[in-house]
Amino acid sequence: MIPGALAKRLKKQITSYEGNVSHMYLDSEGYVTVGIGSLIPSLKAAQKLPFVHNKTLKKATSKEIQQDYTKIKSQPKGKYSFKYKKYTKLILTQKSIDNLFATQINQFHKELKLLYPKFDLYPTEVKMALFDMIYNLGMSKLKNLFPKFNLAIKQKNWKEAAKQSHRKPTIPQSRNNYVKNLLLNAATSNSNLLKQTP
Amino acid sequence: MKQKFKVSCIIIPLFFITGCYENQSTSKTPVKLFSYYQAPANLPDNIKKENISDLKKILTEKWEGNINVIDINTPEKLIQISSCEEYFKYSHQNLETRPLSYYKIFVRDTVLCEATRIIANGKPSSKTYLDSIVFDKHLPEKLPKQMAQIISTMESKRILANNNISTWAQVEPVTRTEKKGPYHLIYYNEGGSERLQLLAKGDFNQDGIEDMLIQINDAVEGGTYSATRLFLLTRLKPNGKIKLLNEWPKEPN
Repeated sequence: MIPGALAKRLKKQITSYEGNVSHMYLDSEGYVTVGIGSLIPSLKAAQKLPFVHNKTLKKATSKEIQQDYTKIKSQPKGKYSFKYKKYTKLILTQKSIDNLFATQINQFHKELKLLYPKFDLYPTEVKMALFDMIYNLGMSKLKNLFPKFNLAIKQKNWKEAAKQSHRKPTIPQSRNNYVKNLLLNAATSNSNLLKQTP
Repeated sequence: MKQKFKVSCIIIPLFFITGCYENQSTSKTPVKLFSYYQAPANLPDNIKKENISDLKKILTEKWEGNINVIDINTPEKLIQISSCEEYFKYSHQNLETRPLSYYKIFVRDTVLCEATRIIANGKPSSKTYLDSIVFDKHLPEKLPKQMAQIISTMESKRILANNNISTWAQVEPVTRTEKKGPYHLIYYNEGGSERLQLLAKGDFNQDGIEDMLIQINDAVEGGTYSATRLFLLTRLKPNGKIKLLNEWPKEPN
């Protein structure tokens, strides 16, 4: 488990980039999605989520979830998420979205520890940066497409990691700057700490 | 059993009509629009996109709602964009949406605006060297390296500077291919995929030689990253290298 304060900061930041949508919608590739950019890979996966009726908050049945899922799946992909609302009757409550997010973050935490065995010892800023990277890229792409970034992280060379962290367009510049600045802040804190050490 | 693939080529007569793949020395080959072309998703669902005049209308057609953007160099000034035409006025600026979570869809729509403009301004070509290109699992061995799924900006720079790498296949091995249509394939790699679709053929850079416009949709496993990319490609001689003329989206200034 990751500390509550870190989880809260992560949720705030990742929500600003991925949105927070209570109903099902299609992402730009046509995958059914909900909450904070959480992909629903199949109808079966959707039926495991605690959807409720938008108006009454009454628990939805498997059949009702199937109706919403099928309706969304048949829409054109790549529209803004709010455009899909009219095709749905069900939502996830904010508590359910938060639980889904927490489950994903805990899974990413396990994956980050596999990629970087000393992850839990890294400064908070570095952890925040790595969570943002893995939430966006998935473990496989973070591991394979950013070799020099990973090397810099393992060497605790946060300044170099900041330089190597930049992702190509479709990632807004402010998100790239956010990750870069987290790593640069860690580098500055590290160098101040070294200066203070007698 | 039904025919597996629908014929997906619509011939658009600009000056006169020739056969879809006819290319006689005395005639010109018209712009060909394929069924994989998509209009920006923020347009009304019933928008027509059958021919060049439809595409010209799409450029000025109002979107279903304004999209709020800012230039990150002057973030205090909110800009409202509601059509491709309006977007082109600001396309040289470093735009970000408000809220930021709409950014990915906005960038996708702007790429589709670019595709629409390129096709709408296309001209018939007098020469073509593209017809022998086969859309199959070997295509990444012939397409330029820029079309590989490179997400890291620094890795991208290293790969572009490396003269020993020239093709997509040299950048990343394709682990599996799924053919969805005559000019529509999904190339899977470790942890991701690239959906490739041929949008149009025609003379898009006014040199008389036929070019092709290809869209790639990137997806990754276990992450929220996705991207829509557009590539303008040509071939200048029979069986020559496929040359990249331009690509979108552009890196911010």
